[in-house]
Amino acid sequence: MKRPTSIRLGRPRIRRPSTRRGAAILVAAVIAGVAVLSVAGFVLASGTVSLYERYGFRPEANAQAWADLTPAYADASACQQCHAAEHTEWVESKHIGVECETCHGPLGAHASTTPPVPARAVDATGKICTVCHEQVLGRPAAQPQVDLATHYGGFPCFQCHTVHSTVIVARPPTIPHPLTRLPACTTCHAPGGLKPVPGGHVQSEDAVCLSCHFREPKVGAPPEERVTP
Amino acid sequence: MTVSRRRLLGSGLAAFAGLLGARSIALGAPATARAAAPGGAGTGVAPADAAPAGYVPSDHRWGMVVDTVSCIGCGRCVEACKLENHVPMDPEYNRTWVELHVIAQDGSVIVAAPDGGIDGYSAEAVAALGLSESIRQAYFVPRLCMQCDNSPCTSICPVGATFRTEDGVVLVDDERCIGCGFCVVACPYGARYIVPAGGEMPNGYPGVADKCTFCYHRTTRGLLPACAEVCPVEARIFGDLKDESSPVSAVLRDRRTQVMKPEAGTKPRVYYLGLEAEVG
Repeated sequence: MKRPTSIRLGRPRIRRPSTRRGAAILVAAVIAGVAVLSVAGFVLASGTVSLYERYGFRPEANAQAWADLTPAYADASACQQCHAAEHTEWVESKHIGVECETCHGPLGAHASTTPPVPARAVDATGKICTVCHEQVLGRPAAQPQVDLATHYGGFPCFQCHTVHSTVIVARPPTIPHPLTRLPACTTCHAPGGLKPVPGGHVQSEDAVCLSCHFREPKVGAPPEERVTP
Repeated sequence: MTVSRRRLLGSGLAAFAGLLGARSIALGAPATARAAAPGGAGTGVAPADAAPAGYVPSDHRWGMVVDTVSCIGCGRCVEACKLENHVPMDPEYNRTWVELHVIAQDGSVIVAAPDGGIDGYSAEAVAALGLSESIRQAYFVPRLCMQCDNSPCTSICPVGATFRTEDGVVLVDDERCIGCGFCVVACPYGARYIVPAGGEMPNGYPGVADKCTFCYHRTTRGLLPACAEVCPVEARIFGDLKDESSPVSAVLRDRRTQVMKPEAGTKPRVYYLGLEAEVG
């Protein structure tokens, strides 16, 4: 019967160069390796590819990259060049503090291309007005704002207001006849009635009609304007 | 098997040369990706409207005062920021947003920012918050990166990808960033996010950290940041803290301002007017 091969336990012995010649070759190899790495590093740093430049800590280069981006928003002076009339209206209006692009969106591309790329269409329903002028919790009292439930509800803002000059161009007509001892408004003003209301109106309670068509008369107004509900 | 010294040295050199080659090929890839991504920072494509060469960062020190007394919560700044900087339109990702802070009579504070405030605060949106408490005070608070002098995000970044410029803006080197998200959690103001893939990307890469740059491409050209440009009530006062005649210096001189979370020791360069102590 064969005896099993003996297994050597413990730490394997480290081979050391047994001769002076071996030691010399090892030192030479280390020096050669360092030299090769130095040359490679020099090539990388100064040559066609620079790892440090691209991936290293490089705040100046990256800051410049952010600075080189193209602005999307221009400013009002760019708009003035073609839209002088609107610009003049705007300069004299209460909206002077509101930039063109606040409502019209970014216009940098529109202003710098020929023919200009179309500007964003402004929402004609008046949402662009209400984002600033709807009465909302938290909105400062100094900001002009309206309760949409009672302020000429249902009509687009542009029906009565101009935006660039911020003036009221049209108000709903006030009621030219006395309002006392009369039946409901819809008695005469319903569709098919004596004097029907224009299309777009809904049949409502008197109070709803009066919310738009009745205004407190100014002090000293002529008697015909002094109507009382 | 034994390996001769000569063969070992030989294969080692070959492996080293191979590594160099692989690195060179890898270097070409990001440059191509960059060129294909419009609006990416660091793109190799020269922009049509290059930044002025005469800009000296050390001459400036940018800062902002946010006026919560004037803010009307219209959200134009949030929209402008997204459109100017290619920030994802998803309301989860914002460089700036507008919060509604409500303080009840009992002193409890409710902070809400539906969709980051991008659509403006409407009566309907506020009603949807279901505020039933008796309200003492309510006001809007625009939020953004505080561009801290002592910024936790730059301290924690393990690869040195985020840094402060000489003109006082904290930027993220998107080619250096590894997307670990440490900065996102280190920021006491929640001002950072990781760019999601498949949509607008401010810097051309998904998976890297992004944050407000004070619109660095605008300020270095002498323009206002987009948020300050479109604000209809001048609630964002931006300017050079080194210039005593700038609007921001005037406000800091004439009004009593404060910073958010001063106890964090971050030394913000975004100041606030009219912030209550309860919130921040």
